[in-house]
Amino acid sequence: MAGSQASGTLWVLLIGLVVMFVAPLALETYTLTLLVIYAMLALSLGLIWGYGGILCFGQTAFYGLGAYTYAIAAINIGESTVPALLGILVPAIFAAALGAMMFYGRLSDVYLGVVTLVVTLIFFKFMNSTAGPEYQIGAARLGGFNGIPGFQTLNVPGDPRAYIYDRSLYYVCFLALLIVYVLVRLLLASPFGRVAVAIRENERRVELMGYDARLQKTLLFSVSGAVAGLAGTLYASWAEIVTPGMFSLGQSAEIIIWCIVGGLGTLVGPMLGAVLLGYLKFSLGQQSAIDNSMILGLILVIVVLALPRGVVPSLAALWARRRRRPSIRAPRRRGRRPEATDV
Amino acid sequence: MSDVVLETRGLSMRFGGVTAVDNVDFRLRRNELRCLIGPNGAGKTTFFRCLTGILKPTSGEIHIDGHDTTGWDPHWIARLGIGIKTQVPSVMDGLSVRENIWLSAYRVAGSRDAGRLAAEAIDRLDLGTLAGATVGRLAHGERQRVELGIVMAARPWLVLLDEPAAGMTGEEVERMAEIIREINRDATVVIVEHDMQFIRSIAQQITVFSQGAVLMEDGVDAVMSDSRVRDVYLGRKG
Amino acid sequence: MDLAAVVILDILYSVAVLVLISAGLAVVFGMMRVINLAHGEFMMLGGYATIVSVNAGINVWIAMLVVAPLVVGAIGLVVERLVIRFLYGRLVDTMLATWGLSLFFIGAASMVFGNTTTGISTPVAGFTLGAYQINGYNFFIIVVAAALLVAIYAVLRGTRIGLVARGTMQRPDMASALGYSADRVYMTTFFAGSALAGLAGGVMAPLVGLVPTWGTAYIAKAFITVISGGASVIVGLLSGSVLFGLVSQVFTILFTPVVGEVALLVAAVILLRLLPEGITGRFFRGRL
Repeated sequence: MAGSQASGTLWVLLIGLVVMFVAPLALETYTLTLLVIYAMLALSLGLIWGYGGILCFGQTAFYGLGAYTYAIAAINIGESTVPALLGILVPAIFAAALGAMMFYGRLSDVYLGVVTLVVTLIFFKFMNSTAGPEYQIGAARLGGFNGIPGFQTLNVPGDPRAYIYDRSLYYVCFLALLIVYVLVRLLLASPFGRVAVAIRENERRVELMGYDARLQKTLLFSVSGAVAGLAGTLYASWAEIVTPGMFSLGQSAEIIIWCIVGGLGTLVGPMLGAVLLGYLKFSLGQQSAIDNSMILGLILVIVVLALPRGVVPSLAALWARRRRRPSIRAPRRRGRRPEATDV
Repeated sequence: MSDVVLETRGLSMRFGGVTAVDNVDFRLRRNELRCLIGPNGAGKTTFFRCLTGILKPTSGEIHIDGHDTTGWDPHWIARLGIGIKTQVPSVMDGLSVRENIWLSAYRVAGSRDAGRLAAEAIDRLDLGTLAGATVGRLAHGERQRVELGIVMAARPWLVLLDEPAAGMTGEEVERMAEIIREINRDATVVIVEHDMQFIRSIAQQITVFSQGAVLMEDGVDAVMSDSRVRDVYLGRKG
Repeated sequence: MDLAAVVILDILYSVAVLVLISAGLAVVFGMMRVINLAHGEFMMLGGYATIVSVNAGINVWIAMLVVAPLVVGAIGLVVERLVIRFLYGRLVDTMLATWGLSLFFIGAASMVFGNTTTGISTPVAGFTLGAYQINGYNFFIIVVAAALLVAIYAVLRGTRIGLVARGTMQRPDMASALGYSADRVYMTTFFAGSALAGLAGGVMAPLVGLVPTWGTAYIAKAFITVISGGASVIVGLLSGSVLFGLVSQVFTILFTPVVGEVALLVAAVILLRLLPEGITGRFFRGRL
């Protein structure tokens, strides 16, 4: 069991590396970089939703917070290493605080959704209202609706003038995604990850075993916040501007759509969902005949109705059935099948 | 030191205007096997939930092994070395039998010994052929056994079981009685139960609940032949 | 004295707006345990229905009070038959599907009406109270909200349909055993909830510049009001609206509208932390 998962991870890694080098032949790296960032954002939600059973409507809070933290720190420091670390750390701490408040308060599904949604809205409203000069952190003005432009983007650590951009930024983002993927896989294979999945299955039982489910959930939430924060940091460096739009409801909805379309309970599903739908959105953006939110909405409705488990798990189930069928048929051809329960 | 390992003093639990548990004083000695019986709504399950920390009692105190556990959360109570099985089989449906039991063993033993402890529990409960199966697909009686495996893998010294025989076939009930007797060899056991047949086969000391209070407490034979007990079971008011 | 009256009127108005925008959502959530995240878009469609009818020469009162609810109710009916009815009992799935519908309607409205602002003028003249100018239309909104609450109560309490509806919501199996089709009750309830959203959109239309994304500004507030209120339709709706209306208006008066909005959101977070099942989950259990 553990062995097959490890080999699965290796396969994903291998395919990922191949895609990393092949994809730039088909698409501009500028677009690809964004798709990779989206995949990381989807991964962060796929982790807590698919494995922790926590539906967060406000994953953008951590994404936007990571981006803003990075931008503000970069303006003040002028070199990207510390800001990038802060861009991960600040959302992680914020997620831990928010998670502690929710999980120790025993909030469940819908109410969890409301609180996370509301927190995102608070960020959105607040950031939009910071146009005045009094909203200034160090040398960085928050800029309200217009956001923060003109900060130091990612550079080679220690050398502020060696910018990482365009193609090299793409490779950095892609490698970061693969590293995060492996780390999350390791986390899920560890006892901590197994307990997290057990909590999704039956929180009361896990508590009766003597685990503190609230603490476990808070930590998992914080890890997810860190991943989303990293995605935000990379986005800031890619877009070279951060705006309150990163906190918007539409953005939150998109992450959820990626996960549900790709499939929960897997890590590859949400990432693929993000890349496919992100690409679809990009190509729909090229034309104006059909509004693209209409298409996204339609896809979400259809997937919820027809493929409640998402595309990747449904395909995996189909594949497994195909592969198993001959092995079930085979003994039948030889004669009566014994009472096998190990299938 | 006294060998009383579990004691409640004046324990009460009220829901709105209903008093489900009314001023219960309860003492349990080490290595006892105690059954709590009573008709539906007598308050035994509520009392059980107070002991396990799932409910916080309205008033009164609970002492377990020298700790005042009143108002503790379930995971703290479990960490005292107490194994708890709830009324409805409470298992992780999406995980395999082995994973379910391993998680429980891991909590007390860490990763080095968890595998061994889990394997032992699987053996003792005769779950070997099912170890790789997903729990959600198992029959009710098997799920009950998985939950018992979760409880046993943690090597508890005090075991609290709520209706372990509910919904089982006659054969399964007998097997359950055997398992419980075995657990009782090195652990103290409290069982909330309904099934009189089952109680007769395992019980030594019985506490009878009626309308939230303790009606009587005695050996099996004395309880079974008591007219008041028969009255509350048949719904006669005496 | 005049100032006090103006302040009170302002607070009443902000409570009334919350009642109005949340009523449809509250009916659907309270009766069916379905959270319709396309509620805001239903309001937006109600707004467009009103504006289109007025531009076509229909009397403005008829447009907002009759046409808008009927049009949106009909849309709701289609949505219920095509999507919602397959998802009963799956709270999270309905939320996701209706979120999809919300995006769909925004996209559809952008294609039909364009991304430009449209609007009509308010049909009620303002008046002065002492030194203060009062918007007469605000008064009208307060009246509509009050009437709405009374009407929902009367329907649920006083009519056969209301009784059947309440029964079905509590025990769908029993209601069908008694010969009432749960399916039809759900359908009717969703129609009613959608019509209420249409009414809200129609009544609010003259106050705002309508754009296809207009609904998103309200869905969060309505959602928060309903969830914080809890599962009881009327008491929950009223208590949620009063609390949040009060908080946001007081902070708006003391500081700025943005602070008012943020205060509302912060209040919601604190409230849910203290009362994880909403206000009525704690204090008015089992009421309507």
